[in-house]
Amino acid sequence: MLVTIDGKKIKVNKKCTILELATKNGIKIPTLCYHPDLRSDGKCGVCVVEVNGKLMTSCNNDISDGMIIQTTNERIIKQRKINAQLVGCNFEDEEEFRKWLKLSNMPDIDELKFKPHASQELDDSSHDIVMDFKNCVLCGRCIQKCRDIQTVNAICYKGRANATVVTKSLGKKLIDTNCVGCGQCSLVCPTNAIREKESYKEIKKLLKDPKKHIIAQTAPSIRVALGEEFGLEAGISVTGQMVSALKKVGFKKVFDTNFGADLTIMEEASELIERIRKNKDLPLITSCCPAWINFIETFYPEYLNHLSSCKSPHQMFGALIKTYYAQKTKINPRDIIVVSIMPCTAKKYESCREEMSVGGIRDVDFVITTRECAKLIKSFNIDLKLEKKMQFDNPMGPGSGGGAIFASSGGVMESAIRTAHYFLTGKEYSAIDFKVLRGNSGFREASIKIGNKTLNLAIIHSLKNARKILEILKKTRHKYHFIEIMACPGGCIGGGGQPKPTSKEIIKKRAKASYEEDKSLEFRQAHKNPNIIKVYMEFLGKPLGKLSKKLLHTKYSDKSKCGL
Amino acid sequence: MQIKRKTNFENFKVAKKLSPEALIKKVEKSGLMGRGGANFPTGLKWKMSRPAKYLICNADESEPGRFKDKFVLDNNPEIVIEGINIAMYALSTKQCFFYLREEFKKYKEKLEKIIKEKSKYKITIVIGAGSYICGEETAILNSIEGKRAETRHKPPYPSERGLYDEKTCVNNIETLARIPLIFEDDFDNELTLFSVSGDVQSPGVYEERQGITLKYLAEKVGAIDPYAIFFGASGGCIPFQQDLILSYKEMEKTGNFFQTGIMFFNNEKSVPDICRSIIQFFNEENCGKCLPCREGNFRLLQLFQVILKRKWTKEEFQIIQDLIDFVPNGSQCGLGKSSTIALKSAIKYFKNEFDKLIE
Amino acid sequence: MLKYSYKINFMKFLLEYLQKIQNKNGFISESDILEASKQFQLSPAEIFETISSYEKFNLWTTSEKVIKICDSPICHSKGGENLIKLAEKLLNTKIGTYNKKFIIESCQCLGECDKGPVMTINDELFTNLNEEKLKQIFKDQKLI
Repeated sequence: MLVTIDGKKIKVNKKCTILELATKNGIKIPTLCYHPDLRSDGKCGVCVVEVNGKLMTSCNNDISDGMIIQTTNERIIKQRKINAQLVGCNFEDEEEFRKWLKLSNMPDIDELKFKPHASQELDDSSHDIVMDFKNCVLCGRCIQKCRDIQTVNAICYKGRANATVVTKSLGKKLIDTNCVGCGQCSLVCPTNAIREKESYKEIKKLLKDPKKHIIAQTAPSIRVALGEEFGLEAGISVTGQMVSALKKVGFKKVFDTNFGADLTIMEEASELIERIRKNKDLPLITSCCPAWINFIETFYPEYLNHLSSCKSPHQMFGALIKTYYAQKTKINPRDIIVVSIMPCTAKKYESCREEMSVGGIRDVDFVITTRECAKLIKSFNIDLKLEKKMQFDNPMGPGSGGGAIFASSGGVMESAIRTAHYFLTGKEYSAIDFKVLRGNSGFREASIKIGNKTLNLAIIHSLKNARKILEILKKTRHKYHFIEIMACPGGCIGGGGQPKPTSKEIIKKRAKASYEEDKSLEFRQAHKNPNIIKVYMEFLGKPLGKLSKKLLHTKYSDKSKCGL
Repeated sequence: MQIKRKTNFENFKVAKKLSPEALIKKVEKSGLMGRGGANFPTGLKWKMSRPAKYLICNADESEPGRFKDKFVLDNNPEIVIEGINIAMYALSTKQCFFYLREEFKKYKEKLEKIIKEKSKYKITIVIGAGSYICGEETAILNSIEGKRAETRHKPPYPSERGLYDEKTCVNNIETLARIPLIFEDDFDNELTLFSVSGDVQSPGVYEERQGITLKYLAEKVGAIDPYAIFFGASGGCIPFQQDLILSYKEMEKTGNFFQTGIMFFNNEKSVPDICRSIIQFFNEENCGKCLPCREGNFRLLQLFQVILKRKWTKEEFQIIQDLIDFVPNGSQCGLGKSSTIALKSAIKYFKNEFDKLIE
Repeated sequence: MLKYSYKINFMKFLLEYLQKIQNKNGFISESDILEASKQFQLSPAEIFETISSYEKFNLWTTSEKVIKICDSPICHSKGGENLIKLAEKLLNTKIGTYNKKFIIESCQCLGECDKGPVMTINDELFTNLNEEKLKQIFKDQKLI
């Protein structure tokens, strides 16, 4: 096919949309509701181009042979200016609006002529997400994520014509819907109408209190994504700079959640082996994703017995900080504040759960997202890029390579197998990189031989695939031995609290960085990490032992609400 | 009126003697055009949809000023069922959905009786729930599937991928009523049902040939001091001219889009006020999916409501003119593309009335 | 197989199911939506979305008498707006305000343009209206 775009003649072999063609050839067409991972409906009208004398949106119209496209001229600029007028009043504030105008190559406008007319009340009933629909431009990205990719359906459209709004299911408060807190909606919202429930301002105040011993722990997903908030390209690991910045901000200690991940591996690999020996409650399903836990408690409570009883890494780590670390340093655990920096919004609710505390003391006191962490650092006028690299603090850490790959979908599985293989056979697995478990698809299966046993494994990301595998389990329950389920597409590196924008391409780059970090570390298996060996020897005893069960394990309950 | 003729399923027997391909060729040759407002050649639509899994008879008429579908249902529902049978034979379809507007639910019983007695194919009656946009061919698909009442992007057209992702043919009820008449000796493809209302002595439905002059129609209906003529809510408007020819080609020359629902207004009526009620109509009946149509029409209504209290500033009138071009350029479906045609023509042809309302 | 799919609802008409409930009770309650959700294997949110996009369905109890006066172009040009104002005055209410006995709702073209201005009270049609006729109809309906 021969297509002319802005005077340039281009030969095209594969069918694509006008917008995709322009992007491939370096022409920037403004967009608002367009997202590379989602279906384009031409809702916002910002991406108009002129084709054969008519204006049409470029995101949902395909190219055809002989098409003559103009991406900018006087008529198009006039169209975009009026579009900006209609949309501008919905942005959080004028500064954000002008930032968007500049970033997306939109023409500048003088002053906003219209006032917003939406009238929904702010909904901050949920622990994880705040919905402030007065800023909604009805791009529909959040509904596509919640309906098509997560199949949770906590939000939907309501009404028609100018009374059309995005609202929660049945008009309820968010906490009364089936929302699992995954935060994928907040990850794609262009105007922050849906955002995480922020707590970084409260932490900033507490950092000034000299009586409190505030500790930060950072998930493996943060270090490969935080740089994006400071202008770096996706996929650059900023571990050392992150530690330095957080220390400057005032955290007394900065720990590595990868250490907590190693604890999870020790416990979960042992759990897997025990279940295989007893042939009971198989397949074992991972439990470190809180949105997945909310999902199974809400929609499939009949499968709760398959979940691992392990807490998630940061919760295990928090429990140890409030006991082992408090004893070692002789600090009163009530004066210790643990702040988990996570790529996740659902962990905010997770940290509040009754089961996530020991003796009335919460394992983790605050959870902030990657985006909040960046805001916190920026509020001290610190530029992450200029920081010198520093190491994580001891005695809790650092983690092994097995902990680092928790960030990516398939990482928990791979790490658990590295350790389970050693526990079962006494030998390390021959190929330390389980390439067969890595990949981008949301539904991957693999079979691995450990000794004389063949284990059938499945790796899932996105809740629609979680539904798929649970429906399969209804029919062939004993096919799998071990299933890893992550609610967010790509795993935690694509989590609801990660920097915006996040797309499949960016997730691939972040995943690559976490696998490189694994390769670069001294210890690549959890069971080889000397600090882990020390903790068990000095304090916990053994995996699944009495103290481990008390501090590092949890239980679940049926939380089904409104039917489907 | 030809549309009232009782053909008693005789023409269906005649049609069945031809092969489906030959039947579609006959319909193409007859020159029959769709009567839903888009004026697409029926024979060509059938050729593109064949073999269709579903046929949809669109009786969701909600355009202001148009009430001819009700006339057909009142006077000759049998010919509609016969037309559907002929269509289903030609398209090799086994299932038809007869989509009735909610206010027409009183016709369901009578139609089901005729279907039981006479129809050789399965026709299921589906009743709407009060949504103008469901008259659009992709919104009708969403409505039958139980989804939100909004349009789909075209392409793919329903003839490629329609109801439940199968090939579907959507025809207006008057088009299907005219299908059996193709087999009559005096078939005339230009005959169409005009719905005339407004400041006239005898409002109602008239069957006339396309290509009549406005003078002829005005005399027939007893127009009282005709001043402004509006073609439904989405067709545009024009000052009364004796020799204006009512056909699609001629109307295009004036910048309007021909509709068969014709509203006559005398010179006591205010054109900006009629425009305000047209914009109010589109503001309440659009599906709300696309920003240009939803927000653009809303802001236009807000601006038109200004004249109830005071005059427009020059700036406000300029914004109105900008929005009038903006809405059709950014919209995805027929409603958005035609919601401001009436305003555009009104400002062009009745400028003096608007000037009086600007400071 | 995904749990939610519109293809599963092949030939099961959600609109018809909802209309039966609407016609019987005058509105569709939350428990109706949850029941429909089980029957159609759709999430409550999707059914809620469909319901709220149609004019006919109510999500809350409605008045005994629902008055709709058409204000589309023809009826408007024949005084539809004034009739609405008169109705508001006679019933001492505003359009859209709910009370147990009556509610005046906005409505768009009913397809009776040759008999305008028109009004419906609970689906009963009244045509060729003027101010006196409106007052008489309201008296007959025991609204005033």
